[in-house]
Amino acid sequence: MAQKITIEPVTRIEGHAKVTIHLDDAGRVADARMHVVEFRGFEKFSEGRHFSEMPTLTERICGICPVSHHLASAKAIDDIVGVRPPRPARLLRELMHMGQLVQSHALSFFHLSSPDLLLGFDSDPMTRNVFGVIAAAPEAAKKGIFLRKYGQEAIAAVGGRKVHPDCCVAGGQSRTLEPKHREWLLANLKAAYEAAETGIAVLKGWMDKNPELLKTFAAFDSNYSGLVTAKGGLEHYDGFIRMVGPNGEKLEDMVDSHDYLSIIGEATEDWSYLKFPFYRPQGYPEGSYRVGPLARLNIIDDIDTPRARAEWRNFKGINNGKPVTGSMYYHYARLIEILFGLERMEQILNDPEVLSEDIYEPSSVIRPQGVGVAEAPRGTLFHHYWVDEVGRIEKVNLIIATGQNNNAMNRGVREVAKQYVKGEKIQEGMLNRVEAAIRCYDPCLSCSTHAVGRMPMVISLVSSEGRVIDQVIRSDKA
Amino acid sequence: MQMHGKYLVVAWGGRNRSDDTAVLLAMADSLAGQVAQDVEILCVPQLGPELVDDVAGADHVLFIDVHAHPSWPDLVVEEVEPTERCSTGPWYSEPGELLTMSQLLYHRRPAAWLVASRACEAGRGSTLSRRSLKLLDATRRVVLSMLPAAEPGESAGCLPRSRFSWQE
Repeated sequence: MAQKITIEPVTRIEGHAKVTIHLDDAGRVADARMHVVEFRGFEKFSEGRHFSEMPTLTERICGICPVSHHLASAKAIDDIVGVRPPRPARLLRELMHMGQLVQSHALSFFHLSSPDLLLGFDSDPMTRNVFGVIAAAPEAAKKGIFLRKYGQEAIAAVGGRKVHPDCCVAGGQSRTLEPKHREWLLANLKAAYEAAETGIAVLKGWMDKNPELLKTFAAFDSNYSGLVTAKGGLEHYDGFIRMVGPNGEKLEDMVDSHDYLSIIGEATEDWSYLKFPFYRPQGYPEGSYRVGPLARLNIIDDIDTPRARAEWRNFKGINNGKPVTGSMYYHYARLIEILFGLERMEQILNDPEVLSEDIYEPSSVIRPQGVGVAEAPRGTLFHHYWVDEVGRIEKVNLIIATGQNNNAMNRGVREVAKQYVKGEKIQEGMLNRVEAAIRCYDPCLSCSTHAVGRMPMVISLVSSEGRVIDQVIRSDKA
Repeated sequence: MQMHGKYLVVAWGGRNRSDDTAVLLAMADSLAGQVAQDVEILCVPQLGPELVDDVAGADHVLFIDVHAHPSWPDLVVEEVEPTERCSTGPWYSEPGELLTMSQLLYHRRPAAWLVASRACEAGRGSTLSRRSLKLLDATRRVVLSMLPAAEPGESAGCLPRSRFSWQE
């Protein structure tokens, strides 16, 4: 008799999801799906607002990566007024962006995923959390906390506050960087590097002990997409879209952000509020692709900062130069990006123009539409606005990183379920492994559904007739 | 109970969320200049693990929040205990979790209280609802009574021994 297992809510992720695992008559996994059950509707209720409000309005989509929305939105409205902000303004934006990259990746690795790595997938769920990590590795925990704090201070230094900054306006920035903030960030950079290196050492220790799991856990071929510099280097704020295939072959390269709709389509499924973007020439689902840290490190030709480059070369060696497929390698990619973020911050903080007051270029032009694209911590973020002649929003299209990883997360869940789910009864270790496959992608479901309500996942075991025969429900308390 | 040592006030809430924000900002404003200079006041959008250093460095911590519990009194003051359970939410911590982290990381835990006043409006806005406005003065008096005053002799920080509540 065919059956279905449901995991709800998925824990240690940002947002509310559930997983259903369908078993065939022989009790083997036939299919698995991650359902995103939140709905918010930001695209709809932005209509009628003035475009100048969009950076502060859309950043409310998220409490973790508001900076990314603020920046992508700011770039879209720069486009509407036809202005490229002065270089000092772009430096400030990128400084804030790198602060967010560091704090968000630190939260994902140290707070959400390190319990699985340091304590084990099968450890007691009551202690498999940040308290358990602190007890097991207090010095690493302190460094993780410091990294998050450091990133947040960078955001506050540029944006005025740690969450939901309000500094970006059409044509530039509304505030300069104060010298005392620059000095604090430079003075604490060494400690931030040490913290990042500690994270890499912790992960490498785990990787050395788990080579087989790294190779097989949610590992599959896919396309990968992200922004690159004009020279094909790692890029998060500006650049061009690149899409590569499973063997690293370039499917698209140097695509201007304005042309994103020519290569990206969006499919829907009736069991999730989260859309399924795909590479248009290949159709859906064949054209599904991955974004985020793993994808970014898979698509680039180089990194132009020394520490991150050295680590990236190790990363490239994992699959002999071809794209790295294992989802657990997202964690390694995330830590390499923390290094890059810190190095880029150092470059910017030492740039004489970072304290400049030339941060705004006025314009009275209103063009009918604007596109802003940036690499959020979780992947590429698209903001596209259409406005009327006085600047009122007529239509909004937001394509969020987590949506672009939707099919990959579903595939990861399916692969892990097939590997670990045995029989009709749900085992806790199985449940946690399925969740860990999702956590690799560090999904931000509030962002991607544009959600109300409590964050956290249900696993249900259901027969072919639709009867639930077993269920595990998690609240937001362990 | 008169207390000595370093005081930390942590007020938290979302920006532009009517009572949720306005109470906190009004509290922070009204405390400035009225409490001893070495009382540290932090206004943050959310409690996160990055606050643990600040918490661990204090001897007494006042967490200031709003609440919307229908059965709670308008103003609640209660001692915060370390929690044994850890939230699985990704980006926020409860006051009790911060105390547990402080204990685990630094082997010290300050005495801590939560001061929570009723919020009636949490929509987008920067003004207080009428009820919260009326409550603000009582909240301010309670908080000031718990902290050392700017002028020596006025108050040395009298912290309650147990739960205290006030109903309009």
